[in-house]
Amino acid sequence: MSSLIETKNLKKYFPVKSGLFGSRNLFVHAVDGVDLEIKKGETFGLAGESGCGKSTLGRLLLRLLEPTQGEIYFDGIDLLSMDKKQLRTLRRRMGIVFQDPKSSLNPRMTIYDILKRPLDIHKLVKDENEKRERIIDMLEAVGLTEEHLIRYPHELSGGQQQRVSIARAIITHPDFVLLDEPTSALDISVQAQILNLLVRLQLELGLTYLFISHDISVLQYISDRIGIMYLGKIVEIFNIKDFRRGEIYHPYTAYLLLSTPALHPEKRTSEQVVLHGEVPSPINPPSGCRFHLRCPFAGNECKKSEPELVEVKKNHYVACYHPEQTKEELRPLVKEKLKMYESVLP
Amino acid sequence: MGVILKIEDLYVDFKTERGLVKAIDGVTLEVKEGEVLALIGETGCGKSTISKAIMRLLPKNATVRGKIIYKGKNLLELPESEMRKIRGKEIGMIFQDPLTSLNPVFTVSNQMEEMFKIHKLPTRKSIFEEIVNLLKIVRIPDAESRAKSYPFELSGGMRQRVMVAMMLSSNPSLLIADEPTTALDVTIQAQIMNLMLELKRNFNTTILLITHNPGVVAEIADRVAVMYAGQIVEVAPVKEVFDNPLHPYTRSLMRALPKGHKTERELENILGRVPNLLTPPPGCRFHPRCPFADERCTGGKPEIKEVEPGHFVACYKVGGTRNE
Amino acid sequence: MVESNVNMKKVRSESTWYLTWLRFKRNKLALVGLGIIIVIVLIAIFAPVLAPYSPDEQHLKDRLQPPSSKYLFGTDEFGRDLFSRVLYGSRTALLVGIVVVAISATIGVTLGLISGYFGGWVDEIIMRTVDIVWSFPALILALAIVVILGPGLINAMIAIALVGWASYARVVRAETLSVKEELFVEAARSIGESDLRILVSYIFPNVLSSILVLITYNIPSAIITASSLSFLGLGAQPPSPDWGLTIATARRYLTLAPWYSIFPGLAIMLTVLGFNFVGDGLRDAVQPERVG
Repeated sequence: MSSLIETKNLKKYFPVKSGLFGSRNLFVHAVDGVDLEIKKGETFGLAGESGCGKSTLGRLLLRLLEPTQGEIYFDGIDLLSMDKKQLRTLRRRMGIVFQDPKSSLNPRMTIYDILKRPLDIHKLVKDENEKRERIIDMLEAVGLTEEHLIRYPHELSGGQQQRVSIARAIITHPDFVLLDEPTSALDISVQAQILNLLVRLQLELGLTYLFISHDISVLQYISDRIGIMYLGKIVEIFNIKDFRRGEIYHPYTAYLLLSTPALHPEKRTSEQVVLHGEVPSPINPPSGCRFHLRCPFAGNECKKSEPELVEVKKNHYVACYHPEQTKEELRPLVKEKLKMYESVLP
Repeated sequence: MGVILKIEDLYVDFKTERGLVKAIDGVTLEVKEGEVLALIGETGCGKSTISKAIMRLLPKNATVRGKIIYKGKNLLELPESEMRKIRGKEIGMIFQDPLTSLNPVFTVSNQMEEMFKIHKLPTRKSIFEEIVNLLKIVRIPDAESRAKSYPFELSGGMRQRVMVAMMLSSNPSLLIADEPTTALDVTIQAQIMNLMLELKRNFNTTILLITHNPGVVAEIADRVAVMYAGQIVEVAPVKEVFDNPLHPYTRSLMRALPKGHKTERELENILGRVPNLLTPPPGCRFHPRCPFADERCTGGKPEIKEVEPGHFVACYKVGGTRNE
Repeated sequence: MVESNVNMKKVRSESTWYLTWLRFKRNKLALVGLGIIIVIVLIAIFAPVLAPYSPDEQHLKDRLQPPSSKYLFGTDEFGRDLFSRVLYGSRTALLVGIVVVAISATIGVTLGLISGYFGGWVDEIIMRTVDIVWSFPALILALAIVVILGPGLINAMIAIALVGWASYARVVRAETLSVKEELFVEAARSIGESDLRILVSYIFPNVLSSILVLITYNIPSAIITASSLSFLGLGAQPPSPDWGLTIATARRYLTLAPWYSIFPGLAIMLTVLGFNFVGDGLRDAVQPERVG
């Protein structure tokens, strides 16, 4: 499989004003050196806690934000070399769906107008009747009906609004769709509907997804590969098969899974595995490995220098000085926790 | 175990410009002393309305019928002055967003002092020491200096801990936790859930947990009440709800959880959407979306009945659903 | 499965403007205000039909007459019918309100949108200009501008507009800054919308409600400022039936003919009140954006 998106040493620092005149130059290190490859046709899941930079990373990939440093390639095209006009043309090939369905749709536009804009911008359909038909087809593909055309966003439920957002993202038949926590604001039953829809659309249209979420459970269902982010860095990348076997090499990944609420009362999070402390400030990340302050395996080397993301086994990357120890010691707990994904009702 | 709170045949209607919203439709529920009872349901099902009805904090356009009996007293009939004593002191409450429940212009210790004064709580040492002690109980690191910080200086998890500490100061018998971890990251969520379990263990606090998240329910609940569109459809021990759900709605919910992988299974699709409570469907409110519904379900509202020991279901088709 | 009929019933699609109207009409005071405005507009349109006399018609025998059945509001020092003059005065008042708002809103909204959306040095320049305009009391600044341009109603309107745009710019900038953060703006960029299109189709419609509120407050204040300028002899010139000008002349006869100043004064008050009631109602109705 060839890659659709590739980044090299991607960084995004946001300046923070401090003091009365903002004299000290402080920066939030939102994304701090990310090398990422997303393959054509796959769903790449990106997990991490709030403030880890996962949403910023997503926006950088679409160049909705300008990176501070680094390179981004979209289907071989150097995204950062493009001027404004070229970039707007290229936007036909990318879509985005956000977390908050209500805020994602212009409250003053009808659903028809919202879906018509992408077609108009990229001059995809000339004939007005054809346009209308294409929009209705799209609505039906995402599980809505012609009746919704004249509606305003506030007249729809959260799930329906999210369907409209999805329709807007894919009506131009893009190659790549960025899904930024698309189900986090939805109820469980609606989340299930949206996940099913996304899976079906991917198969039908051959889409590539970057699925960003804080919820490991959702990611383990929908992803083919998963990347874990902590404080602006990707600390582990693995495929779903390794995950299912409990082959986790980074302690943060393991603890993220272990503190995920159990989907079954017999798999409750035991108190020993609760990760203590909170994520440090991204303005002044800790020296060495960024996780060492909360890590039970941290040694001296972890405080001194930052581990590189290296391939520990085929297609499995980790940035940790103690991958084998982590895997061996946490595997029993991890495997036990993973069982919560198995007990499905008949 | 005694019953600490009993809700009997509770109805809550909201008058709106569109008409009468029948938000709670005949809810009966018992909370037993020392247990964690989770009230689970999706957006708009009325779970938060119930918590507000218990605290008598509903807006003016609400009309309430029924009984809410707390330790033998019907809260709905108490004078406001009595109710004020119960709020915070007897029944504590923590919310989803602790920032809006804390006063931004006072430090943590200022606000906690208020609690001591309002409820005239006994203190052994100075109030400040008492406060620091409470902050230590909820595992706030560096408690002395945290006590002097303002709410905005604390992270979401810390603020939720402060809320729990404030609640602890009066050591209430019942804690209503309304989506207490929804705004938090998973690692922090796990910490707060542990804290709640400690409360239950060390202070024998009864917890009524209101949430939309089955994961949180699985983590800390002893019993679960499932709500749909203003009605309680199933009440059972937590393991039963996950392994042997009897109401079609609960079953669908459990099968909608993202277990397995997309290549192995499709998640349960509950067709349709939650009904508009201005014109709720007659009979069982779930019938328009229920694969088992027949004429009986559209007729009268099914009574909630004990079908197995400790397992209550409001459905005409119990038993039928299990084999189909 | 039995299909729910709940969502099928309502066919009418409800724009947010319609919801705003629903909330607005619940407010009794706002409806009273709206009534007053409608009446004043009708009076301005049909003044020639409603007025018993021409506003300039002199009845030299009936000078400074108190209100009577012949002259409802009495007469002035030239024996002109005050009732007719007050009716005609509504035309000047509304003209001032509309012209001033049209000029100041156009300038202010455009600059506010640009300032809020693009930020940077453009924002700095526009907002510092606003600060300068705001650092003078409105009437004094308008006075200074009229003195430079010369007295007269048109110059007075220009002067008031040159002062008034600043509040539009400031409000629209603030609103733009917050709307800009909404995800639908980012979504618009993600589908390839141009900056101009985002400003016109995405941001402007969402700040429009605030602009309307501002307009309903701005019209009466423009009327008052214009009346004040006329009162000071810098606005409308005789023989215009302008309310402010009439009060200025009436001052000389205050003890002799109190009705002379009372009726135009009442007219100003009613107009201002009407617009302010509507403004308050509108302000409450546009936010929050949801019903129930």
